Amino acid sequence: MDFSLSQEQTLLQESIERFIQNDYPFTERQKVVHSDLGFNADHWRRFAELGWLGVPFPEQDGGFGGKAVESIVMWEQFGKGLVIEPLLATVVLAGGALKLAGSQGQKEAALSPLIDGQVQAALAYAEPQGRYNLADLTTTASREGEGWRLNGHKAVVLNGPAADWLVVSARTSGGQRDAEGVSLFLVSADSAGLTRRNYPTVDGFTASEVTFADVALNADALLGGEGAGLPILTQVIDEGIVAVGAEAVGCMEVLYKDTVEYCKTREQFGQPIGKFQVLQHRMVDMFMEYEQCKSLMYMAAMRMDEGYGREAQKAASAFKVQVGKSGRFVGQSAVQLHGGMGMTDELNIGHYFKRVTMIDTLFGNVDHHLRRFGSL
Amino acid sequence: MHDALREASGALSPTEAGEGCGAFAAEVAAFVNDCWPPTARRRRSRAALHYWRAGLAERGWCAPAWPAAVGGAGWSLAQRAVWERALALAEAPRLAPFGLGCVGPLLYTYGDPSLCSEHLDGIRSGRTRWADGLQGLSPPDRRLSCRPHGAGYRLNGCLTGIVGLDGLLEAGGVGPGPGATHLACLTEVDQAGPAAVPVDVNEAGVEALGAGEAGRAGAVVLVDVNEAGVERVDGRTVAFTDVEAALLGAPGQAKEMLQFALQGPHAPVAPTAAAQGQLARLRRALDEAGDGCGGRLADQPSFRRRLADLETELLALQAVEARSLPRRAMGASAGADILTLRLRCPQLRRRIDAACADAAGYYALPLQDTALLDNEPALAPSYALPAGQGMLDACSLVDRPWAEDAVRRRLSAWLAGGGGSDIGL
Repeated sequence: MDFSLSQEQTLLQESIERFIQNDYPFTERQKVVHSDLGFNADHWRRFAELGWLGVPFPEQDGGFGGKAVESIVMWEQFGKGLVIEPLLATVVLAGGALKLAGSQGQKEAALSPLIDGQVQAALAYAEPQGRYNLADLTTTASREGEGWRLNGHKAVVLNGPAADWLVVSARTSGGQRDAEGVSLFLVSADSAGLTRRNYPTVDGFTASEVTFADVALNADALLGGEGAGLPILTQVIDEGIVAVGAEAVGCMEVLYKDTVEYCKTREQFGQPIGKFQVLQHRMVDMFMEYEQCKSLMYMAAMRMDEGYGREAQKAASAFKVQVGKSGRFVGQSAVQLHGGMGMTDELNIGHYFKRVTMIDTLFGNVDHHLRRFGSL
Repeated sequence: MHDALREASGALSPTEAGEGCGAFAAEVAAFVNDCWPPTARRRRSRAALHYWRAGLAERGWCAPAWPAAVGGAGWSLAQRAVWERALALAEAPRLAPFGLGCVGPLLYTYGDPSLCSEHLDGIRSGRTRWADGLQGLSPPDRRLSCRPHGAGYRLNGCLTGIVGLDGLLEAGGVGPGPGATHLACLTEVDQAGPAAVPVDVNEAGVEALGAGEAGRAGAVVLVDVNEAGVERVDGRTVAFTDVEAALLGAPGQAKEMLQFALQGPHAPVAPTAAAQGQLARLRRALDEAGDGCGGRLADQPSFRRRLADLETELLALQAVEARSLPRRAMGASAGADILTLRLRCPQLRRRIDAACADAAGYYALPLQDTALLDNEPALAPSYALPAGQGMLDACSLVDRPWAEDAVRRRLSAWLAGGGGSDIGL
């Protein structure tokens, strides 16, 4: 198994690293957090120019043909820089659905502007009653003429406030939790009958509760086959897991390294706290959790790139379990070892902790993925 | 034996009944039901908090743990345990934990009469609100310092890591509230050693940095001191420039005072009560939350097992607590049993809060339910309020590992010494 990066992958990693070091200091990031839409248009334009928005898409669609390994290379750096721009929602989730299920016309209309940095997008899939079951849907699309009428409520839609269009999962047939009968639709955010209730998230992003009241959809709004949306959605979410997992690995690296540095300088009872054996053990544990996670990250990416199927799904779930456990431990330890400084807004530790903790919640927590892993 | 276990489960022991706790417990239950009804539990609106505080003030129960001479309720330990458990089970908000639970007791124990008359009433009534700077930090280039100036003292320097400066609603609530009016922090007074210094944050020359609320005056003061475990974390920053300050107690007395603050007679009698209340909230969340498979989370084997694990741990800690009550009633403030509770209760709370956040699923993500403050409909389903923020707060609460280490070393030394009756079980 070859864990080394190709030259192109290394260049990609370095270009993101450089951007974060030179142009994305923590204070910059915080400004975006406190903005209404949750992203900075200049940064987004830069991402488009650098080609980062196009990395995961096939070359014939205007992208760079990147796969899971390119994804982890990018997202580990995004995690280290705690990049707050909505790349996950727009590129990985909404863009991913288009990539897998979009027709030529849909890709030209929706994917090209996305890669060019002209639109924001979101994937609306979760529901208040559904927890982590992608098939548990009370949002319905009922046939009307050539198109559909969309009704329902989507929960915690990441990047909902800024999205120009959304990919929405809705039931076109079958019972509430049937695997068959799930369909994906491209919906413009300014459709009549669509309302958004926006709010910030704990980790500095933005999200919406989106309700659909008789939203009219044309025939060309359907993404992929009718009733055949669940496998697409599942794959998109697994790609999302790989991305946020890598992001968490990047966060964990900062958390444990910053903690080691801090413990060298902070004094208590007359000596640097880093000299207390109990804290040394804790820091060693933090490193080991990080190392385990990082290694599983590479493994999961390689499995995904070997072809999406049962093995890839198992790898994604195993990775998510590790990310959940390690992320919580490393995050909490960092906060505790920083003591009174741990949750100050001005220091970065608290923000990394919040992000890595919320990543456990995204796309299924430890329990969910243990169950999924066991059932595959 | 049976008495202790029944106590642990919330029912009254014959001892408590003998003390008249039966009637007292009924009175408390009725009061809580009236002033913090179940509807308030689900929606912590400003109005509900107001009503709660007004009810407490009317009864004179704002600071029940204080001695009667300074406005406390004069209850027995058993009555205080009944009270703490009732509040925890009702998920009632804790009023001003720092002011009532730390600054006030320090004032009436170590402060001179003029300081007491200046501050105690405001703390008890809620007219003044205290931010906790006792475990903040100073950046090395702007260390907190306190110099005698005329009859008083002047404070200079920078403090970060302050809790409650921007005034979160009462602990357990969410969102901003009225800010702190006073700050207590530690500083060095010349070379005479550390002392606690109450500071009025509205004093001219004090400015708040990074507090996020324009125009709010604050003070950052921090000097690291050898302290034996004070319990607040969570950060805000303040800077001082020649600020007038008053000294509480004598220079060099801080360590003793902080130990007193942690384990004096005013300290919670039933530290497991908070965990008990949160566990009730978790049970409710598990009953209400769907599992995405047509059932409730409470039906999921993993959650059932987790809940049982937490409940049995709680039961064990409640038993430790019940066994320690007779010693506490005789004035003992530390012992292997009490130290065990000090370490284990916060750990248990963290685990319960993590489970609450897990139960919330995606609804752990919303930052805070501002709707609760604006009288709009709730943002998240009731099983999720306010799990996410609560978990983060709980994770940041208490337990600096080196303070935990200090407690463990005390226990370790006690064990090595034969585990005798000195701090004994």
